[in-house]
Amino acid sequence: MKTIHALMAVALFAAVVPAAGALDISDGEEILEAVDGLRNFVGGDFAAVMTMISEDPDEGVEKQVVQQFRRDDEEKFLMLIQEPAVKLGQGYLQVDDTLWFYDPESRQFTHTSMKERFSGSDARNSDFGRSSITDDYAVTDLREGTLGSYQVYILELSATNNEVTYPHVVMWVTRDLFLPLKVEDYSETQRLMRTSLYPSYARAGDTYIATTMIFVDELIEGKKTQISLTDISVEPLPDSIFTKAYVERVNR
Amino acid sequence: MTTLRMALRNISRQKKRTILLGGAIAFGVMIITLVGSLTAGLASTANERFTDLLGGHIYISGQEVSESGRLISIVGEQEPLEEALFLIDDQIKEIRFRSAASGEVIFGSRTTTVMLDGVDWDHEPTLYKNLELIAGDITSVSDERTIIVPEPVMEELGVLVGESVLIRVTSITGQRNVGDFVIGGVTPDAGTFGLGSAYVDRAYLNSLIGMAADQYQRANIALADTGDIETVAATIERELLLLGKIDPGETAADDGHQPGSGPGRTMMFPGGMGFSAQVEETEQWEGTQFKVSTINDVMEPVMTIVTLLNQVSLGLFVVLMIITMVGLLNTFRMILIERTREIGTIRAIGMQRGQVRNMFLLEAFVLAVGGAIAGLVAAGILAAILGNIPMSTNTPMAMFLDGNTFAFPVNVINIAGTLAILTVITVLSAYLPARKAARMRPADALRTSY
Repeated sequence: MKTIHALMAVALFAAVVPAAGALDISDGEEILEAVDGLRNFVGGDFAAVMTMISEDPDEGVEKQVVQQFRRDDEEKFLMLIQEPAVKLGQGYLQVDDTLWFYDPESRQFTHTSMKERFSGSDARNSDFGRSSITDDYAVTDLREGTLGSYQVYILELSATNNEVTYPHVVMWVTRDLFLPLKVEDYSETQRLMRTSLYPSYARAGDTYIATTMIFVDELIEGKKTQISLTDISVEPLPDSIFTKAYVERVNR
Repeated sequence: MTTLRMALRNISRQKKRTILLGGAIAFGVMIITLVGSLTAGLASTANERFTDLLGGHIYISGQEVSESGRLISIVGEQEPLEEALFLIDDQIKEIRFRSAASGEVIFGSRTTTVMLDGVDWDHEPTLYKNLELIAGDITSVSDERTIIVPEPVMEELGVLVGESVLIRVTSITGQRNVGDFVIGGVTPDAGTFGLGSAYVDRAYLNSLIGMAADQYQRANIALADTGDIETVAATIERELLLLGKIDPGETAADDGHQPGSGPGRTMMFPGGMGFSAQVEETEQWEGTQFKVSTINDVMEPVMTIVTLLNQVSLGLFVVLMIITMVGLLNTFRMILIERTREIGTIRAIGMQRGQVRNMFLLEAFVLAVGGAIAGLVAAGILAAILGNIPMSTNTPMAMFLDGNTFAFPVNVINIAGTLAILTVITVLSAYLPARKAARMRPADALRTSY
């Protein structure tokens, strides 16, 4: 089902977007919808193992391995940390609007925010769940360009509300499949705060999943996080996975 | 006078016994004096620290609900607060309208986190005049980009006065933002385990955390008379309640409780903390809801520790005194037996009953006073030694340190009270043997042989 949605968005866009050189803002909205369609797993589940390498000038390099489960239709996700040993069993469970952090040492769930950094990395918790760019941003500029050897659309976005993490965003999206390759996040003061790079994608069923993500903190020299996805699966997941009981059970 | 001389002579006759009894009394007095002085010092230092840190004695903060139902920290409606403050105008020494945010200070690849206090320098003459700087110049705050940082921040980042830093903050609605600042001054390490704030221009901070230049999150009120804290807080709370700007379920002012004890007195540390709770639809409100808290609310945990320490020392003192009293009672009974013939003799040569009783009571009194003086001297010596031992300012205990040592203030009333109670108890415990001695018939006493 997810694939159908994504492909429908792409097909719709292909029908709507006019020839190069005649782009306007409404085309940008269509591109965003296509990107949303590809980024979210509508109608299906998703599971993968994430390997996160965080580089910090002060704290050195840290590797984390995280098992990720997503069910975007129901706005649920679960992230269970497998490495390093000191964080083994820590989990982030999102059910509807509530994001819980589980600490196996205290065996307690505490409320956290989607805007917080994920486990000390440069990624945000919101980077791993369902997202809707079209709900939160409006296109302020759209143009064509290139990124390396890729033909891309460059979208400049401004937040439509004051509760999204970054008020201004610039996004590079491939022209053929509408895959985001690069995203720059800007502050209200128009300072570049974070750059996200998505250099590689893999097909999962009939859709594409970013298998490598690089988040660069643009304020702190040398601070970045690279995430690689392996063991990707789009098979249906049991309902019990997205429960506190499951998180507690896997920690016994 | 003769009775006193005889009492003193009797005390000096049994030196070992006198030293043991006096020593027990001295030990009890030393413990209670020392602990009482220490706890008074802890409470006083912590009170001063928190008052400085939080910028006043009464804190009024505002909360609103955003369009999406999230709780945000801001005083959007200033009129109700102005009305409430008008009522206590004559008791206010200074009001500090501040904003605050947690900021990640970035200098090259180094970072540290600090609490940013947004200050309206034009309206905070006391802070401007009294802020102690170990580097830099307070006049630099005329530039809105100036930041005055605590010494640990400077050391951690390796930054100098005049150098630029970036500060990453989160707005009141949760957006990430970043500002450019220049180090204008450095405050000494207050030893407040990270609670030391950096001071920045309020209007500039507001622009970074999504507030208008003239808005604020908290009004900190410094009172002229600190004895009025709870009364003034209750007046403000009542007025805001009348104006419908405090949730009635959260105020303690009108429900017969001690002001300051209710849930409406929750201490708040507003500012972009990167977390804003969702408010249930049924519990959302329009405009600003205020919360009032006082330095006493903040000090409550500290005072609990102080009270506990005082209770423990009092318990120890009582146990020591009971043991001493029993010892005294037995000692004086023994003295009575030892001196029975002597009492008979002095009665026979003309000493009156009252004089005999007074001689015993004077012995007890001199013992109590002597022991107490020795205890006070010992407490003073120990306090002087302990009060000069430098302690680490990098631990939670630093909040209780005066500089880098513990303070041992002298509380004359407490000491006088302890001495009075001790003397009365000591004399009372000697009263029964004294009365028995006084009632002896001289002939019977002379005939007695033990």
